[in-house]
Parts: sequence; C-alpha cells; structure tokens
Amino acid sequence: MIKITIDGIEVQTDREITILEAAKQVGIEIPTLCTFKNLSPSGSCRMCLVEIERLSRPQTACTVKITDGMVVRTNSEAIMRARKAVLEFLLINHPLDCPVCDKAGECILQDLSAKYGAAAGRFKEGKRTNPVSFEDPVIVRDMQRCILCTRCVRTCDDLQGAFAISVINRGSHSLIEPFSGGRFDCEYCGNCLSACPVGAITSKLHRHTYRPWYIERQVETICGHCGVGCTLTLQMRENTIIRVIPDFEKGLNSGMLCVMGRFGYDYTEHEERLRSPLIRKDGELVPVSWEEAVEFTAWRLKELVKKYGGGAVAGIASGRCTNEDNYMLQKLIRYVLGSNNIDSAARLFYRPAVSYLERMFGQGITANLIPGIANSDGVFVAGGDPTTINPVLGIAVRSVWKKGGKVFVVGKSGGLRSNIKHELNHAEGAGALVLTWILAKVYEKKNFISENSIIDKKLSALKVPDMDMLVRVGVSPEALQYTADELVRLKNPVVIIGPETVLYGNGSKNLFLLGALNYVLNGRLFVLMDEPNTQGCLDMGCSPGVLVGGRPVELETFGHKMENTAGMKTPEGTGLNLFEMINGANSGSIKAMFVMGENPVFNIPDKKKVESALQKLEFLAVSDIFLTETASLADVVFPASAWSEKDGTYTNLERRLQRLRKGTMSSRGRADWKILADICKALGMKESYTDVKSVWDEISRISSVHSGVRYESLIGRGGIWPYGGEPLRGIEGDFEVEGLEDMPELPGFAQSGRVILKEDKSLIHSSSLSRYSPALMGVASEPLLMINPVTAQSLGLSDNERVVITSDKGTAVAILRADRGMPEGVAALSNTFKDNGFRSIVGYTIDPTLKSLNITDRVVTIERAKQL
Amino acid sequence: MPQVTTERLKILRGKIYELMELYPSYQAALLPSFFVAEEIFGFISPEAIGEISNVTGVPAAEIRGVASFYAMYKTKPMGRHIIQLCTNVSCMIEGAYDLVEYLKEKYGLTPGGTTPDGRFSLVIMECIGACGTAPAMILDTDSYENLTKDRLDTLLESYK
Amino acid sequence: MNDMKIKDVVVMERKEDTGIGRFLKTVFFVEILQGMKLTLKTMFTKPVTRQYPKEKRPAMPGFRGLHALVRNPETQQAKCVGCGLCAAVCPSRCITIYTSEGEKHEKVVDRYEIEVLRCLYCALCVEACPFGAVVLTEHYEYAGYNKADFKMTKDKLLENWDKYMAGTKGEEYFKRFWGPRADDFKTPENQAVFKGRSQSKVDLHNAE
Repeated sequence: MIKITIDGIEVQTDREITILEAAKQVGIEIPTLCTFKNLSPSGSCRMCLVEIERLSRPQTACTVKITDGMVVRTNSEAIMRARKAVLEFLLINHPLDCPVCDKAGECILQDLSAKYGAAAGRFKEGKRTNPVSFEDPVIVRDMQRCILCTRCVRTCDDLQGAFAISVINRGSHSLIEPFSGGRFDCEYCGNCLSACPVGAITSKLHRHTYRPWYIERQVETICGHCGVGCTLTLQMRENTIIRVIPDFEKGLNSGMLCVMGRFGYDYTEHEERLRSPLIRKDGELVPVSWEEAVEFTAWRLKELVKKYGGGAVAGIASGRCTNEDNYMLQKLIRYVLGSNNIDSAARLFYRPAVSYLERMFGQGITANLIPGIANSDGVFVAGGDPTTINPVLGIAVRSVWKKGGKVFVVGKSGGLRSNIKHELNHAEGAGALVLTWILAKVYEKKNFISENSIIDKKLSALKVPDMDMLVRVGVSPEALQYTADELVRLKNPVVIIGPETVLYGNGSKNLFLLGALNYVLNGRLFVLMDEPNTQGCLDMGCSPGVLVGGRPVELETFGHKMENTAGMKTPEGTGLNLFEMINGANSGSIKAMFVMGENPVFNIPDKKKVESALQKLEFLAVSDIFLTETASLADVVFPASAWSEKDGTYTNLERRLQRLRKGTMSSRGRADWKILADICKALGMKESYTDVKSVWDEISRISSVHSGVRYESLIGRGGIWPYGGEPLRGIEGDFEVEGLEDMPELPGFAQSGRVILKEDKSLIHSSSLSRYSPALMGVASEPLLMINPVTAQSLGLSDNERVVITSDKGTAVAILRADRGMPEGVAALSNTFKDNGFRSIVGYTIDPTLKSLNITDRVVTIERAKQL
Repeated sequence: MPQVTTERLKILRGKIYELMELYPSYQAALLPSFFVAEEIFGFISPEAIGEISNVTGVPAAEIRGVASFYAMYKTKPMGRHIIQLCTNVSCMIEGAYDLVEYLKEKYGLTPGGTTPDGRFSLVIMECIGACGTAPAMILDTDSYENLTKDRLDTLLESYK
Repeated sequence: MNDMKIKDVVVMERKEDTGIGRFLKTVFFVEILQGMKLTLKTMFTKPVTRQYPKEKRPAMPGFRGLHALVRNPETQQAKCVGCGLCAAVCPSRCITIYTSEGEKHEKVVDRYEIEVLRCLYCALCVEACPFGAVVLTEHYEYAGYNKADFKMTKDKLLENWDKYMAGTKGEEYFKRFWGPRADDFKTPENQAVFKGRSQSKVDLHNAE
C-alpha cells in the first residue's frame, strides 16, 4: 500500500501509478498537454509540473511514479509561476490566430492559457514560420501551430502502428512531417487528428465551417462501413453532419477510427441520392408518389404469386441494412409471399465460411471479442488483410506485435508487413499447400490429444506436402519452420480468416485446415466481415436454409413459434441461394425479385450474366440510396434512408448488438423496414409497426438468440448474443471436406503475358458505397491495379501507367501500381469503381460443398491503354 | 551529383547488410548507413531512405527524422565544399553574423543554401568549441579560427 | 392573496347623490363639462411631451441600437473573420454565421445573420468581438411590415455601417466605448459581465 499526500489530501493505492493518475483519483486537476488517453507518458510539454517535498526542482506529474510518503503540491505559488512560464514558452512560436483556427473552443492550449497563462508574452522576437501544407486531400497540417507534444507521432506509432509521421529537424525548427514532406500517403486513419491538442493537424472536410459551439445536436451511433462496428459521434448543425468524431469512453474501438469511418460519412449528402420513388413507365424510370409505388409493388407481387406460386419470388437482403430491415424483408418474402428464396451478399464469403466453421465446432464459434485480440500472444492470419478489410481489428492485431506477440500471415502481408518476421507469400493457388504443412507440423509437435473424433480422423487423413513443393510456390523453409515452431509455443492464439480462403476455390479445405489449426492451437476464431451487418443479416434469417435466430428451416418447433406469434406459416423446403436465384431468373423459374440495399450486378461476378438474368424478370423492385447498376434495371425503385438517417441495430462480426441512431433527418428516403412494412400491409399483413422498437420487439419474441433483449437496453457497447436465450446449436455430426485426402496440387503458373487477377480490398474504400464519398474519392480516386514490379517489367509496363485489363468476361481500365507484396504473375484490382470493378470482368462457379462463390476466369492480359 | 540508379541502390543495400552485422540493433546501424548513402549519392536522398527502411525495417518517416536531426548529415544536395560557420554567443559577439552577411553579398550564399555553381554550401553550426578564437568555422574537414572578412576571402579562394 | 382575511378589507363609506341631484348631473353633463374644462385649458398651454415623428430625441452616446458590421476602409469588405465568438456569447442566440474555406484556404464568411427581433441589445457581441467588427449603432428607428425585414444579412449590416457610422463616427464610438480598458485585457471590476449560460455549472443567481 502506497500512501501519498497531494495538496493535503491523502491518497492510497496499491499500484505504482504516476502522480497525475493519483491526483485524478482524488479529483485534483493537473493541467497537461502531452498526455493523452491511451498513450504512454512522454513528459515533453512540462505543463504538469508539481512540487514534491524534499526534491529541489519541480517534477512532471505525468512521468514520476508515486512512492510511499511522498508529499506533492500542485497549487503553490511557484507552480502557478511555472505554469505561466511554460505557457509563455509554448506561445513563443504559436500563432495567436484563434479566431480563424478550427480548433478554437476545444483547444487545450487555449483553455490552459485562459486559466493559467499570462495576459501577454514578453518575447519581442518574431515567430518562426513553418509552412502550412494543404497538399493532402483530407488532412491539413499547420506546423506553425504545432507545440511538439508528439501526441500525433505516438498515436501513429504506438496505437495505429502506421509509422507515417515523425518529428524532423531539431530544436525550435522541429516539426511533424510524413515521409514525403507533403501528402501523408498513409492509412489516413486520422487518429493523429483527434490526438492533436491544438489546431496543427485538422480535417480538411469541415475546415473553416465549424466551431464547437455551432453544434446543435450530437448522436452516438455505429459506423456503417465494415463489420467491426466502431462507435462514432455524429455532430450536426441544421440537419447536416458537420463532422464525425470517435468516442473515447464508449465503444469497442476506444477512440480509434479508420479512414472510412472518420472521413467517409459524406456520401449521405451526395447529390445523386434518390429523392422519390421511381416506377418504370414506357421503359423510363419516372418519379411517382410513395403510395403509388407501394401499391404498384404490392399489386405486382400479388399477381405474380397468384400466377406462378410463391416459389417464383425471391429476395436479396443486405449486410448494409439494419437487423430490422432484414427481418422485414424475410417476413415479406417468407411469410407474406410464401417463399424461402431469400439470400444476401453474405453468400459470397461470410455466410458459407461461418456456417462451415459452425458445423465443425457449433454455433457461435466465431463470436470472440475484438478488444480481446490485444491480449493474445500470437495471431495467425490467412486469406485477407485485416488492416484493410476491418481496419480497427487490424489495429488490435498490430497491438499484439507491439506487446511482443507474434504475427503470422499466409499470403500477402499488406498492412501487417512491419509486424511479421517472415513472409509466407506463396504463389497464387498454393494456400492449401502451405496451410496443410503448417497444420501437420503443429499437430505433430503439439502432441495434441483430440476429443473430437471427426476432426481427428480427417487430420490423420491429410497428406503432407514435402518441402520441395513449398519452395516451388515461393515459400522459404526457414519461414515455415519458424511459423510452426512459434505457433506451438503460443498460449492464447488468435486465428483470423479472410475472404480469399473461400473466393478462389478449395474453400472447404482451406476452412477445414484453418478451423483445425485453431482447434489444435486452442485459439479464437475471427472471420473478417466487410459489411456492417452481414452477421445480423444471417441472424435475421436472410438465408435460404435458416430462419430468424439461425434456426434451420427443417426445425418444426420454430415454425410453430412464428405461427403463434405472427400467425403466419413458414414455407416448406429450403429456398434458393443467391446463385440459384440468378440461374432461376435466367431460366425463367424466378419471376419477381425484391433487392434491398444490394447491387448484385456489380457485386456478383459475370456482370453480363447477372444483368441479363435480372432483365428477364417480370418484376424487379429495388430499394437503395443511389441509382445503382441494379436499381437502373428495376421496375420500381424505392429511395431508402442512408446509414446516418435511420434507427436500428447492427450485429458486428463478434455478434455484438449495437444501436444505430438517427442523426440527420431524411427528407429523401424512408427506412427499408418501413417501405417493406408498407408493402406487407398492402398485401394483408396484420401487424402494424410504429417504429423500429416495435419491429425489434417482434424479433426478440421470435428469435432464440435475441430473446429477452430489449431495444432500450442496447446502450453503450451493446451486448453479445445470446443474452438469456435458448441453447445454441451444437455440432451436427460429420461434415464434408472436398479433396481432403488429395495432395494439394501445385498451381499452374500463368503463361507469359497473362496474369492471374485477384480482388484487392482497398483500405480507403468500403466496396462500392464509398465511391459516392467525395472525401474518400479524394484520397483514392482511380482504380488501381496492384502488381509485382518484376511482372510489370516483364510486361513492359511501368508504375503509374494507365492499363487495360482484358479477361474472357470483360475489360477494365486502371492505373498500374507496382507492389512488392504481390507474388509474381499476380495482379489485384478492387471492386469499387464504376465500370472498372474486379467482379465485372471475372466469371464464377459455385463451390459444391460450401455453396459459395468460386471466382473463375481470372487469367487476364494487361496492356497499356491507348492515349486518348 | 550522382544519379539515383537501381545499381547504386543495390550497392547501398549490400553495404547496409554489412553494417547491420556490426551493430546490436537495426536502429543502431542507421547512422553509419547515412554516411554510406552520402558517399554513394552525395546526400541522403529519399530513395536511399526508402532503401534503408526496406532493409532495416525502421519506418521511413522515422529515418527521415533521425537524418534531419543531426547537422552533420546532408539531407539535400550540397556543394563541393561545405562551410560550417558557428554563430553561437562568442562567435556572434566577434562578428559571425557579419560574415554571414558577407557570404551572402559576395557569393549569394544563404544559410542552408548552395552557390549557383555548386562550389560552396553554407551551414550554420552550433558551438564548435573554438570560443577563445572566435569567430570560427569548419570548412570541409579543416577548422579555421579568428576569421575576418579578408581572411575568409583568401581561404575560400583556395577551395575551388 | 388567498389567505387574505376578511378583516383586512375595509369598506369605505361612499357618498352618492341620490334623487334629483343625480338626475340633474346626468341631464346637464356636468361631469363631462368638468373634464372638457381641463382639456380646453391644456389646449392653450405648451405641450409637455416630445413631438416624436417631428421632433427626434438624439441618442445618447453609446446608445445600443441597430446592428452593423464594420467595413474595413482598406479592403471595403467586412472586418469580420467569422470566428463565431459573438454567436457563442449571444444570450438570445440571434446571431448565425456560416463560414467556408476560400480559394486561398482562408476563412470566408458566407452568411452573417442577426435576427433583430430576437436581439436584446446587450452588446455582448460587441464586447466579445476580437476584431471590433460588429457594433450597435445609434439608429433606433426601423419599423417594418414583415418579419423578413428584421433578418439582417451581411449586406444589410454593412449598409448600416455606411449609413449610421459614416466618417469618423464609428472609430470614435469604438475608442470611447469598446477600447480595451486595461492592459491585461481583464474586465474592470465594476463592469457587469456575462458569466455563462444557465446550463453552466455557475449558479447565476447566487454567484458571489
């Protein structure tokens, strides 16, 4: 027990904390500039000087640890003089331009000067001038205002792990700069921006438009860009979002955001937003009233169901919509129209991966906490870069490395490059080969005694490739050996699975290998999720074989529950999945479709096929916020309200239920659930819903995993399902692994002049939605083709050249960008930009085991674009 | 000024690998590798920093910070001869600023700048320990004391 | 009032004319004539009130009347930089400012609006302004037929400056009433100050 006295108040603690923390505990305020929430103390600003008895000079409270019997004074005359002097020194070079500085009103230096500072400085010398940099698309750097507290540098290095900025020069000429000296060219997370105590690093998005006292309202909501579900605060003035700031107290992200969350909010005010419902009349989409659109849709659906039966109707749900929206869509399709044909873009990766892993280990196997990753001592990543797909989860992985843990990445290391010791960057298509070797070695070394005979049997059936094969796919034996050795030592490992494990074939085997590795290591599984509510979309039964709460359609008990609650019967049999719907539309068995917040034409490969399939439909209704590629084919288009305009709940990848709150009032669209409820009502649904809460109440009555969850109780970090629910589904016997006993094949290397194309997930963009965000487009405005420099050279192409990518299915134009992280013979293109998306130029087949997307036709030629 | 070429970068890479063997940590190898980069490129070019970062794994921004901290490293192209003139208290009192003015008048040299013909560069130094014989300067590797305008003139003439 | 007791009410005796006296008074308009007598007497005396539309009272120096934005004589533009301090301090929240980033990355004031009808002429905005860019002029006559007339835009406010603070009048006004009174920029002890909005923790009514 340590006892100290601060300003005559006695403080007792059993930990060695700093004087600053001790003072905070008893409510004594010591002014600081350079200490910041999660950062280590640096003691550079000297604002926190305190007097300690028997020490001749004042000491910095943020760095001095308390010792027993210490007597500290924070408010003596000498300390007041010291504070005054420190502020006078800080203001030698700091300009007094508060009236035009964006930070004024929430500037710590300003507050401290008002409280402790002198009225005027005594330095008559001129201020040193440092340049203001406007070169960056989203961040303004005014180094004249910088007080060199290095909070931004420490945030970038210690928390974000991007190492993009640093203090350059010396003495009073010091300033903070990125490597280029101009543009940051970093991850653009903007966390330096919220760390800056003065106006040195500010956002360009609301530059000069904003004063803290202009804010009329602020709401706490959830980011709508990826599956992490960071808590954000939206600040509004007159119905427009002025800015988005992180919340340091609430939320699982503890104040960290990524570029999409912080800057990508402005798409909601894009001028191309749909403003009124549209109906196709004489081949043209014309604006109509809400009543007309709803009645027309209901009439058409009713007519088609009467003519062809319920099985001719299908619905596509979306991971971008809330749980309530998705629930209402499945209610329309299943219970009002009588069809089990409902699926979503989760089919492309997340749903098959999660349900396969759940079949191996039981429901909820991937429900692990993101903040918990930081407590792990080793992370194994395969099939995707967490720092670009789920950036804030990626930060947690980096923090493992920061604490001395190990990080292993199979495939392109991307944003984790500086955190790994050895690259395991294998040739395209050799993932299973590498994983099999690692799993076999770990299994052997760990002397693992399995309790699961099914997995055990499969493990012993695996054929282990020899080292020669692995060397041929470009992996060094040293790296493999290191990985296997270190993995065995881990006490609390984490396994992260990305989309590439499934997208390019061998899906079931890759998932089995990773699942088994996790089982052998006794780790925690995470499956990356690129949309905010893909998991919720599944929980709401937007999947052909699964009802609300993740119950299989075949379970009769659930059907009764639904019947008792809503008086509606569950249709029999499993419905069609996303691909079967497209095929059905093509062959004519599907006649009508309702697409909510999804863009299948752009997001499912083989654009031409999907497009022609949707054109063959007798009736296509779309609700979306923009006139997307799919919406422009529709017969009826409903303008939906965007993420910042609606209430509801999101379920993130760790199955945390969080509340989305309405920030701006939407004059343009209505919430999807409202649109769907109106249609249901017109088709004879009995229930009526007044608000989101009434929809949620119904969900919590019906769904076993959400039972007992009250809408009002979802505050702060929300809660992880199941609450007080019924038991989850366990393991259901054997599962299939395709090609388990086969020796993984060596991939066929591409012929010269031809390159294998992969999908690239850009950090800046969240699939195709972010192309409507001016800020994000400012950072990354053109499609990039990432390619190995050696391959580029062999094709006669150089960096920053405009190239045409041609495949059997189509062409795309992109800017070539040499990237050493890409294996030779492989290029990557993102699926973001209009007309130039990756998925539009490849084909697909359906994985027989997983029923998931298997992208084919990836061999392309790359040529220099003709000069315009 | 030697051009930045892939061959030269390759030489640099080889030398850094050698240096990394000699030092306990990668960070420690930074300072000597700056000298190597200067030897090869004449100054620490951004490409060289990129290469050092690739090899040692130290972030490029941090390397730039370190390189710019020390006055002895050239972070931009410099002239053939480098005048390092002290302007600290003793030298200032003995008229170092007059010499700075004089250099500006005569050669068009500004602190941190280079003459158009690439002959001289001027760097303002902190104390070089020659206070008793101020004003003082270091020209390339030689130290000169008790400077006056005339003496500076004759000295500079001998450096072509 | 409710607990007022009966004994507190004293009924005064009242004499009333009865009968014929009352009848005569009514017939001959005695009371009206008495009143007219006073009216007639006053008609020939000097009026005691100021004859407002014809005769205007000059405003006292420092009178707080209609708002104006100060025009910078060098640039001919408003001095205001859009710092928003006036909007922050305004107790009736009648000032709205919209700013944006200009071409040279400077701060541009797009809209500066004062809703005059909500203003209570406390002049805290003038006191708060670090640039001396907003004033209350001595003009007080601004009747109008609709509410929109009282929404002062930036242009109208600049016009007010030209009209009512022409010449050196404005400068003198600032020197006399709004100049810094102490070197340490502290408010003089005897001056009333705005101590924050009511939601602040300071108890305005019991402030020491």
